[in-house]
Amino acid sequence: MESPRKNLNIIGVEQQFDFNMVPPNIDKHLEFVEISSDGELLLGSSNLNGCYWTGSIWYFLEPGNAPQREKVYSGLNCDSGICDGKFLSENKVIIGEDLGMVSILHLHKDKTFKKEHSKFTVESSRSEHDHAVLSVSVSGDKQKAVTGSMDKCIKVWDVSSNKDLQSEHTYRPAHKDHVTSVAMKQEGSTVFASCSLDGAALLWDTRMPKPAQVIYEDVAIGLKSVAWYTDNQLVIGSTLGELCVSDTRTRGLTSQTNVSSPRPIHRIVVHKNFVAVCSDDTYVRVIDMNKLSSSESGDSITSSTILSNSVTNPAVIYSDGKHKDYVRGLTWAPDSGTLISCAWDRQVLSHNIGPVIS
Amino acid sequence: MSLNKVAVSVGLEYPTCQNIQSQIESLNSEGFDYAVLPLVHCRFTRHRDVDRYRVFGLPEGQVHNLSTVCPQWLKLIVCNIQCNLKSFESSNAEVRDHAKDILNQELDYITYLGIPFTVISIDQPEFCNFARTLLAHSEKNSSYNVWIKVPIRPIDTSMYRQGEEESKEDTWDWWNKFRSITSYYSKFELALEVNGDICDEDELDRWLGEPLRSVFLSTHVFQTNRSGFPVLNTALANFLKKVLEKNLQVVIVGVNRHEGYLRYVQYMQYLKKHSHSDDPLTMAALDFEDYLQFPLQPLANNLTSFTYEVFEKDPIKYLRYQEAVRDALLDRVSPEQADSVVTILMVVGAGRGPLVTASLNAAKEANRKVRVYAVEKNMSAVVGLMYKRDEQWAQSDVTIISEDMRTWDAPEKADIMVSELLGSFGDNELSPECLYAAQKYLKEGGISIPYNYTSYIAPIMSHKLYSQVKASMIKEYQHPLFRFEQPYVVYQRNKYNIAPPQPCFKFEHPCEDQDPDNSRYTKATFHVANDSVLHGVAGYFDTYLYKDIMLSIHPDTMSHGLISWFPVLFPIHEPIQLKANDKVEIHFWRLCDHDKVWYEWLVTKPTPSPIYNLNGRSYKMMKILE
Repeated sequence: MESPRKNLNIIGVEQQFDFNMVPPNIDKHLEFVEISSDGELLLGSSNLNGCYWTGSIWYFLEPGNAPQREKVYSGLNCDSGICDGKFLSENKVIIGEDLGMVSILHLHKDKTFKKEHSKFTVESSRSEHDHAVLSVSVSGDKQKAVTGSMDKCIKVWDVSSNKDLQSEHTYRPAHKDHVTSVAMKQEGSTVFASCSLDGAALLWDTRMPKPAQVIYEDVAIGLKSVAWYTDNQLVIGSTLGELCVSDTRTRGLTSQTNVSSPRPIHRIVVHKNFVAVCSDDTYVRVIDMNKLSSSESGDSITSSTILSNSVTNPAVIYSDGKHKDYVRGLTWAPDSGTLISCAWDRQVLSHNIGPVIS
Repeated sequence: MSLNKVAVSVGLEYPTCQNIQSQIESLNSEGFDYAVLPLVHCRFTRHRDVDRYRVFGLPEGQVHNLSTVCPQWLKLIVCNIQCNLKSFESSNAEVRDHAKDILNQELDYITYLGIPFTVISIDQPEFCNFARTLLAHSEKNSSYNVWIKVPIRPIDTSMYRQGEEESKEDTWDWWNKFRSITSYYSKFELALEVNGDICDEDELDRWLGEPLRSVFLSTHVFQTNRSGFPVLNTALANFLKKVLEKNLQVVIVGVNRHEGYLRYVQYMQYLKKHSHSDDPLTMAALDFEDYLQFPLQPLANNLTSFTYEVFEKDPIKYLRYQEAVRDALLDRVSPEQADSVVTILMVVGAGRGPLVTASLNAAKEANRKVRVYAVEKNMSAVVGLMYKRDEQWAQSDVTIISEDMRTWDAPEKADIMVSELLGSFGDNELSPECLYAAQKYLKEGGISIPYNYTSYIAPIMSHKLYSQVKASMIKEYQHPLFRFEQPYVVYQRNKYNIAPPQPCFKFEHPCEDQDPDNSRYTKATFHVANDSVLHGVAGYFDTYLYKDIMLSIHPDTMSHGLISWFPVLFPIHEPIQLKANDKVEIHFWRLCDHDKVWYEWLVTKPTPSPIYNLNGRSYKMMKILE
């Protein structure tokens, strides 16, 4: 069986791997972790400084087993590193690669496969981004996905059908620099947020002729990560380690706090009033937004609040430095106070944040 | 000529280095000559607090293994270094230091590996800390050249963003700032990133005047023609033709959006083939592009046989002289007098005799009788003239005079005086001084061929010529401005014309005044169309031989096929920054004393320069044999 990846528009992608086989090793740089609705774990990994800058994707039925190679349910090799991936359903995932490919993988749970054969098959793969895909987000209704790339471009994909991936919108250039993060609004499938090293956070509505509104912009810094906090509020992480909350209606900052200054905030995941972040350091941090609002709310942000750092920041209710390299992946286990992290140190760790104050 | 014989050098940019061996191996099959790729992964962020800070790049062995693919593997790689300029210019000291640290680490690595070329993008107008870091590293480790990649337009997101205006910023200013603050450092060359449609030809011409090394073309810029092949819009295609004509590099960036990457390379070959110029001047100038030469001084130094040989090869010049002499003979002697009247024709400065031959041919063509005197001061050249008189011109009445035309006591007066004493700036080989002295043996009403010549000046921008002048050596006894106080004869390829030329000095022959004043002064004002930098003044000339028969190296009236003269360059020592609609005011003097002639020049607007070559301290044209 020939892999659909064979017909990629990139030369020099040698078929050095058998894409039907489970690869022998998990690549050393763990990039993202996701938990499916039935509690199973997806792990993406890359090799960023070896002889081959490849990537692989892994599946564990028991999250506690990650990242033990001998306990994987299945795995699949990729041509280049994988920075981000999301579940489309319990047996489908969408991933973005460093070579710009976006692929939908199918995980076969019911069929009987030989142990060495991968239970992942590539359902559809497109290489339309010109550079690494840094962020993937899927709408709540699982109809659309959006990808942001270092090629400054954002693409919106129809992932509803069982047919090939189709890009519905291509915004080139969506930003003036790398698109570092995209986040679909969970309601509907037309609104999403994006941010970039160009210093802008945008709110997009694919139905509009001019689809983007600037929610927040500071051209002197870059923005690295964005996530929805409420229906009308975005949490944005900057390259200087600041976390900003911005209202999409008033397009103004409602609060701002230093989390990992001056290290860039890489990823933000939200669970109720808890915002977990990882940065270009070894810490997993959780911010209680209620405490943030109470201490630092208001329209005018004074310089003294901006200068507050994570050590003394009362809003940071959890700070864990057990990882030995930069934490890259973060996800909340469904409906629980458990946070899972993965890092470039090959570890997957579980953090019990405790009861959620709703 | 088949397409695959057209030599173009096209590279392919890879976003990552997932398998460098196979990436390099596949280049050839797709028609590419080299790859532009990173040796550090674009997402591999690091600080000194993690161990892998020291294991940041593609392992050395993996790079060196490329020698099994190709022994000249170093030629196959241009290293792409990703720099975040915002971090370099951050207000946070830690962020700035980190950016500097990471760049130095990567530059050290390519120095260690011996990679000769690297490319770094400038994507914002602020980059002083970055430029400083790069220059500081490069001055200490001169093993690599850097292509500074600048987008042809700032990235425009206004079509998607509500309420955003299209950026009016001119990215040429970024480049100009970069090269100025790095003081025209020769290891930094320009790479242009074509990131959208461009139409303004003058704008593109200005880029072509820069030390352009390569052009990065995104595959999404290509359109698709009816047959499914990638093509560019007309303005871009014409621009690329000029780029390929100069044998610059083209790099294809992005995923393949057509049948295969080979199609992009083939399109480049197609453009190159259709750009090919067989213009004699272009061919003759091939080895002399932007190559500075000192003007000849035939009066003070005797020319060599080789020099005569080179100039006698001009396919156009002697034909024009022959036409001029023929028409002059026909006008001066009516058909009825054809058999009775003998026209006295003097070739002054005959050299090896091409004008004698042309004049004899003209006489034959016109069917008029001539007596030719060939006056030449170069005794070595006279040897050849004597020989030619006995062999080639034996049927004609030719007298060889081994004398300086200025002091020769002629036995009779001439009807027609023919000379070729002009330099690239017209009078700079002292034609006026020679011909005004020789006109004493020209009959009243006699004809001088040529009968006038005019020099022209134009402000130009040329990073390349300026840095060459700047790099030339001076000796201790010379004036500090010596190298900037010379006119240079140079085929100017890498330059941008800031404004069209204007006339400078004009001379006419013969002159009624027996001892005319050959000094001149001209002031000219030029209007600046685009932001640019004044690096010097280009000089041209045209000359009328007889009636409307002319020779010209003025860009607008250039004689097609004429190869004898390249333009001249008068440099200035400090570049002058110009804004669109500025006025450039240039002053030129031609000054004489009893044994020499010299030029002085000066810029007074928009900002004043010193007077160059005061008293001819650095450059002068001697009236006497040295």
